[in-house]
Amino acid sequence: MRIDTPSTILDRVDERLKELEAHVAQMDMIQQLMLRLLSIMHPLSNVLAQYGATATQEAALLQYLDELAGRLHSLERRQQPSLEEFQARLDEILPALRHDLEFLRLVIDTLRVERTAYRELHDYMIEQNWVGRIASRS
Amino acid sequence: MSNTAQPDLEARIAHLEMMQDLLLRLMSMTRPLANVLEQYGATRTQEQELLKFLDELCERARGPERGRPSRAHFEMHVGEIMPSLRGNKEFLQLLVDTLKVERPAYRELHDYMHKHWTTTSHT
Repeated sequence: MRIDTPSTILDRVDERLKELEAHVAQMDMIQQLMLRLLSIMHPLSNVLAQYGATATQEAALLQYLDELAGRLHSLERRQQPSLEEFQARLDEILPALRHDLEFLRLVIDTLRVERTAYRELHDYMIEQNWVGRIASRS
Repeated sequence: MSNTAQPDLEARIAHLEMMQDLLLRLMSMTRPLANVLEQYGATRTQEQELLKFLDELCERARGPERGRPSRAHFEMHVGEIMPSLRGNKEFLQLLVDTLKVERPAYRELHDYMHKHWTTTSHT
């Protein structure tokens, strides 16, 4: 029976780790491609349609998101988007979904796979812990 | 890495891989290539022509070596079908990449491109 020395075992673990790293890198590349392809399929519009939004409501929400994305770089602190304002404006645009925290969360999540301008807005929301604050309310 | 961490990591990667395969299968049913072409302003006629050209490439990639398609031929023909995108490297790369998540025949073509055109393909 062959007995492996500690260094042989370590070499094997190293080798396997390298294989796993290559595997993860490949999955990461495919995921980036899927995200890119998904972003051109208007995922936010699909979510809104699924939740019964009209074309007018969709246009109003997209316009508001554009405005928010533009305000991200504002030097004035009070101009920067807040969760309270975001929720209030969504309630105004889509009154039927008022207080629907799952919908609110889904809108934020979907921005992650939307066009680049919205992805930056999504990063800001995550950085400001909007999702965690929504979860704590439910 | 501890003795318990490695099998755990292996299991997690295997699970992620399984989920990704499922997502790829689902995505291939959403006609990603048509979406990319629409996004880049292709007309229906151009889309049909491109699909016909890709079908032809699939056949040729499986055939004798002398008839197998080259990247230069691919780029030239895509440029003929969509003149406004002639030489648009980003579009051409996305086109090649998208084949990876398309129907199986195109995935096979993607594998051929990846294997034979590696100097310029990123996937």
